[in-house]
Amino acid sequence: MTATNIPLAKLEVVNDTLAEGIDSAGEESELFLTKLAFFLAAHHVSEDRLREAVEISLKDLGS
Amino acid sequence: MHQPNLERRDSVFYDYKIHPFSTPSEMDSAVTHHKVVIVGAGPVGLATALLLAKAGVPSVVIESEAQVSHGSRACAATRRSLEILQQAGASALFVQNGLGWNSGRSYFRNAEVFRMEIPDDENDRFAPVINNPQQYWEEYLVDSVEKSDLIDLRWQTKFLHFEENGEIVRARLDTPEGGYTLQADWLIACDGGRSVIRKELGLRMEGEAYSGNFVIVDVKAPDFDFPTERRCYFDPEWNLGNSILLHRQPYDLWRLDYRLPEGETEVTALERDRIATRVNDVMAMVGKVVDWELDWATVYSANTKTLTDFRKNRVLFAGDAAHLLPIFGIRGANTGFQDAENLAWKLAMVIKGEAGLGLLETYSTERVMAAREICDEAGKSTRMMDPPTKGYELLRSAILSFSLSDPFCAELMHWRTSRPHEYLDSVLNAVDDDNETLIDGISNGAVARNIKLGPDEYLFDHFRFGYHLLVFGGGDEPVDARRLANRHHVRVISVDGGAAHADLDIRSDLPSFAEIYGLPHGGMYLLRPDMHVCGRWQSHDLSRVDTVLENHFRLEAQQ
Repeated sequence: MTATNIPLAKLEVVNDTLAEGIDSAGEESELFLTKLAFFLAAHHVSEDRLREAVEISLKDLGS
Repeated sequence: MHQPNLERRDSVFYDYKIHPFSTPSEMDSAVTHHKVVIVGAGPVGLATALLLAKAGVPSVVIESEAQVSHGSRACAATRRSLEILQQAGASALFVQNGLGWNSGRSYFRNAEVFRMEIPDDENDRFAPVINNPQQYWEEYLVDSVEKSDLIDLRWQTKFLHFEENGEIVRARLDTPEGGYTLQADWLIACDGGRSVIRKELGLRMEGEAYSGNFVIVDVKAPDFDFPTERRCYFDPEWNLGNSILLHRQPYDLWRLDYRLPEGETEVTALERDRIATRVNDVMAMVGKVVDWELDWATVYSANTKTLTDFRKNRVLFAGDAAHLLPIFGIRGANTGFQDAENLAWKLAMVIKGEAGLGLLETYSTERVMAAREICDEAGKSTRMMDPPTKGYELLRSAILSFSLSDPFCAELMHWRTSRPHEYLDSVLNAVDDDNETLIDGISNGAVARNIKLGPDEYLFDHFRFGYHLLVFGGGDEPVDARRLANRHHVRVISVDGGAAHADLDIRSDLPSFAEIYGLPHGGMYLLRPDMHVCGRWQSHDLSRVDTVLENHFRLEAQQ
């Protein structure tokens, strides 16, 4: 996956919506995020794309 | 009696001057009625006085201190601010002594993860941003004010309270020699974020307050050599989860802003040893530890707040007295200058009896709308710099982590630099012009575009107080500017033979002028005195210009 030209306005909506979702989930935020990723992956992403997304998201996790 | 600090402030780069108190005639029982009293001689108060003077309106500016403010504070003037200051006759020293820049970089784990460039082309007289410590901003503005016969700047004069009686405002003031009352038609509150006038009226602001504290430090470090640009460092090893901003200033001065670690208090953050450790940590982080001297430091927390009305009867608010904006995006004083610019021409026309209060009401409607938009923009960058919740904190970590390997969301690190608001829905815009059909050019409500006319000559250099009508040749027959019924309010600028008897005739040899304005086949632009477009036409029908102007002058007040 390479950098794509996603409009800033869309990124802002994604950022705000996810942040608000995490805050609404409170202490269950980990479960919320897992459910969200599962839902999006199952409904909107091909298997190849999912593997690629997992690989990228695993990078640079720690300091 | 008011006793301001008469000892020069300590500084390693700036020689403070003590401005004396002069006994005003009002203290000898003389009753003088003034048109305008401005409370606060900060950048916005001084600019407002200069812009009013430009329109021929006198004012009294009162300032409680005896010297200009301490610390670099605002420090970065945008191009739009410089254009406004040019109209106020005060831009030259900003440019001559400041450091211009147009880009910024953000770093995470020693890697550059985002770079932003502010558009800059040959039609711009000024750099996108010019850095100068606020002491100098105020000094330059005071110099200009002192040259004006229309501005009476009164140092060491503290505002206490005021009362309104019909159309008169009486401000009670205190000085080293005792108190007195100043009487005026209008009171402009430019008394800053802790506005006494706002508090006296019991006005509350809408918006958000962020909990994170930032330390702002000015240090003199001649050997600390970096380009003039905005640098932001996220999550440095010595301050994980936080961020550091670095701005170069002239006079070997460096401005550092860093977010305090959780739990650290304002008091401990400003201890000399603590500051020394942090400054050295910043220098080590960028790989250049050099000798430095501390000039000034303070603690700051971000707000995105605005009053919902900038006018309360005879009292008008501008700058930080009207809105509180975070430092990220250099919005504070730069937004204040736009307030001053919007307010001055409208108030001047009302005071001179050329327009009704309806025109002045648009100051509040336009600038409140601008402030809300700016608060919204500022909130976005603040949530990146100072995440207010666990959700935003996690998203920030995700954005930074992605930025190292797949920077699809790196633009969320954009700090959304201050820009001029576009009054797209203003009642001052023409309703039956060609704005909707003109695809190119500058839309109604947007600020006009400067044009380079010669080696050291730009369109805005020719602007004076008043409306400007740009008449482009190439289509209709040239118009006779004398046929404009409101000619005395309007300076007509003919471009490539658009008008006869114009105040200025530009033969551009520059096709870009008409192209930038989207009128290669002729037409007209009407610009308000604050240089915002309020009507544009593809024809040369002057009666339509008169209609717009009549609307401005006869706008009815709602209050």
